[in-house]
Amino acid sequence: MIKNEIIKLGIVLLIITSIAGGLLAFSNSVTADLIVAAEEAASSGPEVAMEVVPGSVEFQNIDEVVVNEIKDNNEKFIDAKKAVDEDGNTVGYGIRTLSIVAGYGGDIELFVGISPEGKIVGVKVLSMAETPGLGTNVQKEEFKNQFEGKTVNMEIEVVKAEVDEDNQIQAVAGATFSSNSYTSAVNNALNIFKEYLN
Amino acid sequence: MNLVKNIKNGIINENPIFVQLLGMCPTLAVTTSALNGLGMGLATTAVLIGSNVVIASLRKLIPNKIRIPVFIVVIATFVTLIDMFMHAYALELYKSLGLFIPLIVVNCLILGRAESYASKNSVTPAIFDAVGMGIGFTIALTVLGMVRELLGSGSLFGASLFADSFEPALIMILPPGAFLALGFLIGFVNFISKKRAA
Repeated sequence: MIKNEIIKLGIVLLIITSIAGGLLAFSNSVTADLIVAAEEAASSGPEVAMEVVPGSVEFQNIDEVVVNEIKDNNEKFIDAKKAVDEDGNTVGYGIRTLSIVAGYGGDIELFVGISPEGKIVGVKVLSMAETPGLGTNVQKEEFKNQFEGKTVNMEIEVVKAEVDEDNQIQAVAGATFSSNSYTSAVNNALNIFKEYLN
Repeated sequence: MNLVKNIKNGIINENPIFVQLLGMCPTLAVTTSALNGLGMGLATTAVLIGSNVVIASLRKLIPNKIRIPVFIVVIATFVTLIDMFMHAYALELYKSLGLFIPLIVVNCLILGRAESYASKNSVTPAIFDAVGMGIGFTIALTVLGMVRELLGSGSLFGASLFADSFEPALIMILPPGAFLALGFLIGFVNFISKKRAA
């Protein structure tokens, strides 16, 4: 009987997929917490804090009410942390945000370090999908060091030629899109700092 | 003796990339650096060994009519396991391989070995077949990644090899570079094997 065969095959397939499903459910329960912890360490761990706010040793959470308020008003904002030194003094803030203007491969995700006085002290790229070797050059020192010392009271502007104003930075050659996108994320972080954390 | 032949077969005579041209999509896409190639090769090898073992040991229980869906379920289960564990323990590699880990499911190398070898042989030779094919695949991806990284970024396994004055040929880490490098490598392998046959 053909009908019987269909049922038999269906049952065999059901058994195999059930075993596979059970195995995956088990390993998901093992890895789920580890994945969250690994993501957290890679995006907001002590190493990131040290890079984004020099002189700090780790990030600490800030008032959740403030974070939620920023989230409600700024859709590109992801998270804000305060950076503390060994004695627990606040030495700066880290603002994690996406870019306002998309780059060549979507939004760039940055962690921007701002000192309590409102100066940029460091920037780190958390994720981007720009063209390797062109757009990804925004991670290079020559480009990103230009942002250091810029203050929250200015709107940073990207220029292609030589820089002649305080609030200007020079775009990466051949990667104006990526430079603009990167800068829009930094500006967003500056605005958030000015409005909520100052 | 036969088992050693299985391994040699996978690495040289029937190398999945250079001779059979199987699994081209991940090959061309992820080999922008030697480390990516190596990581993708090892992940694929792990899936291949797992699926060959399970399929070879279940080969008498799997009804012929539903063998393909069963193979796919087995392969997808292993890929998902690798995906979870890599996400938990090797976040950086996980991020650089991105979408191509889940795509191992549809790598025709793995389904090909399941259909043409594991489903017709016992477990031990199937393991050796998987190891041979896996090593062959890994070597090919790593070599391709090395060539592209060397020419396209001027580094090898992430270590910079040249002075700053060296201007890398960007095209090599962009998609066209994958085709160029693969074409030349296959040509080279053919040249060598023809010479040896003569």
